[in-house]
Amino acid sequence: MANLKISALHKSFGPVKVLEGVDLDIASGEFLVLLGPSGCGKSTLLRIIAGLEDESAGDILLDGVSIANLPPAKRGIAMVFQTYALYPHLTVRGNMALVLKQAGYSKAEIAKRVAESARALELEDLLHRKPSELSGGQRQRVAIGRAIVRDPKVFLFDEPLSNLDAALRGQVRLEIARLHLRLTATMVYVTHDQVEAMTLADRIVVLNGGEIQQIGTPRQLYEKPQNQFVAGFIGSPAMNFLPLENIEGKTGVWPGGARQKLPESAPETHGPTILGVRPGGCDLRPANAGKLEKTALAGEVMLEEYLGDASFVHVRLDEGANVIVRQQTSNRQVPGTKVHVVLDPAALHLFDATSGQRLGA
Amino acid sequence: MMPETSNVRKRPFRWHILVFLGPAAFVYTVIMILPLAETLRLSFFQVDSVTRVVTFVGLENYNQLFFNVYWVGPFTKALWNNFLFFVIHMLVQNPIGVLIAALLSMFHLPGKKLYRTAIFMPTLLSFVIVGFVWKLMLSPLWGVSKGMLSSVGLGSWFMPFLGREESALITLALISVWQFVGIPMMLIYAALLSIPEEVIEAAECDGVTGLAQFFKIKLILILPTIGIISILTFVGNFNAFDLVYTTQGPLAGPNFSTDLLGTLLYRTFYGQQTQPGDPNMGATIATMMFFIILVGVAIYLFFIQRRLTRYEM
Ligand SMILES: Nc1ncnc2c1ncn2[C@@H]1O[C@H](COP(=O)(O)OP(=O)(O)O)[C@@H](O)[C@H]1O
Ligand SMILES: [Mg+2]
Repeated sequence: MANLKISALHKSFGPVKVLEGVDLDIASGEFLVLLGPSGCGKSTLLRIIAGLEDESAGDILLDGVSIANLPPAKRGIAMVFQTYALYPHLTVRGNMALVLKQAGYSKAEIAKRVAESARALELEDLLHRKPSELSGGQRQRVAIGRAIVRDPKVFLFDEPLSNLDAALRGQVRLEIARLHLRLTATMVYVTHDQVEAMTLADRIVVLNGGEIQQIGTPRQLYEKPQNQFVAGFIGSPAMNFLPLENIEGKTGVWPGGARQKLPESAPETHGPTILGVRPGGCDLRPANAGKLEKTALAGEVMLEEYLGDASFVHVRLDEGANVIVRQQTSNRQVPGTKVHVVLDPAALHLFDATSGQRLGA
Repeated sequence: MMPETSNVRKRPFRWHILVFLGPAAFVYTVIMILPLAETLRLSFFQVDSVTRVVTFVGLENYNQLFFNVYWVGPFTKALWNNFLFFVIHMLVQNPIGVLIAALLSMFHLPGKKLYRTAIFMPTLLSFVIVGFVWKLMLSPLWGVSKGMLSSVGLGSWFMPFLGREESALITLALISVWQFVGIPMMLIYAALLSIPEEVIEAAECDGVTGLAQFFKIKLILILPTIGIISILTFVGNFNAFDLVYTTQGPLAGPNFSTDLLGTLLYRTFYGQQTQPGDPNMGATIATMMFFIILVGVAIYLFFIQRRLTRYEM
């Protein structure tokens, strides 16, 4: 149990700036997920916390004490790697015991701790096996076991599920969630998969281009994305973005001159604006419902993705943009049909067209 | 169940297998199998020195080699020297190769590529050049080694290293080590690089650092490569000939103290001042060399390699 504070962390590799001033305050026992696209510096941040990489500037405090100058093993932090990184020549028991042996624990203490961790992760029957004799999911459990034997203050996970197949991923994800409940340890978890992030996190940190885009609970991120990047990154399929000429009297003006009703929170007036709407916030109307012309967006059905409980209809608007609309499966759409897309005012998000920042509450 | 008909129907003869295997089989037969068979055959015959009549003598040549004092002395001496030559390589060349590779893979050393190339370079040189250069350097008359030792206060250590019976073989072995240390270095270096970065980082997190990391993790993971290097060293050393020939001549002086199986074979086969050429006895020695290497490799393959697990990484 420990709180981890990262302040003004910068990292560059030569001329390449990877992290540009990251500030994070991670509460004791919190499950924090770092979410961002590939190459945005998530691993780098995690490796700096672990001590595997030196920071260019900034500090890392664990319970108020700087650990930035300590070697990795002295930080009280355990890391679980994406590729498991088990010692190929040691058995499961050896893999878990090595860290304790190196730290000088007594034989009895080592045996006790390994047995405890093995029980918690259901590895007892595998203790004598080598990593090559384990399945992917079992290897990842051993990697987690190797982290928990040392009873660290903070756990770091770097995309621990990305080498597993879909079925196992769900299972190990549950195990990690259970582990967090049981250990109530501080955990920092890196992923580029939003489903993992949404299901596991107490709070999510969205990173892009080495900068924090938004910090918040999964619900806050989904319902009130602070900028266009977060809005587009969270949610699947992604949010639709459509440009508005401007906002006049809390009403949006489409490039063609048609009007769009906006949510209550919209600003009175604003210049060029990006309107964001999730597939669930749109609906389709037949093109011949004439009186819709003024407010809706005319287009043509390109294709329908049937998912069983719903389908996603891809519509090409006459202006050129593509919109994905979520529909009841009973409402079948034939490609080529002319349709109108209508937007639910309450489901709209507004962003400034140049800065990408959220407008209104 | 296989349907009956597929067994009955005749497969067309698969010519392409012969066509593809043919060239390799032909070349291998001509340059490997035939000479080997011919050597073996030669070792069962003897030529009368006066009448030039060739007679089949069975194992008589081997009997001579093992039990006739004229042959058994030089043969066991060469065998022993060869064994020493091999031991020196195993104790000096391979550990140094491992050490250099470990250092190269550990540090972000400036000029790393330069060191790597410089250490590997002698391997590319001809034995003639290496032998000649070292002979010049070690020469008591005009060599630089005396001056170099004196300049660091070790002048009294100087002796004609290649000219004394006690030191000549060791000196030659060390020259050979100098020439070939690049090979174990390169192989070990590649093996070390193939250890996944994350495994090493996991070790760092677990507090297994420095020497402990090398001995508890890296060394164990590269043991299969060290095994391969050992057997390559063994085969190379028991076939060695060139370095002795170029530095000490075919008589493997001083007083045969640097005689290896290779030089003994050469002298026996072609003859030297001290003895007439005897292709049949030469073939006998060559066959023995072949069997020694065969046995060594077999021991390695059946007893050692099986215990060296190649870990999936
Ligand atoms: N050792 C390194 N040297 C140079 N550039 C690096 C190094 N490690 C990472 N980078 C760069 O830093 C950026 C962030 O990398 P990383 O943190 O691994 O991203 P990710 O978010 O996918 O984990 C990438 O653009 C990568 O190319
Ligand atoms: Mg990464």
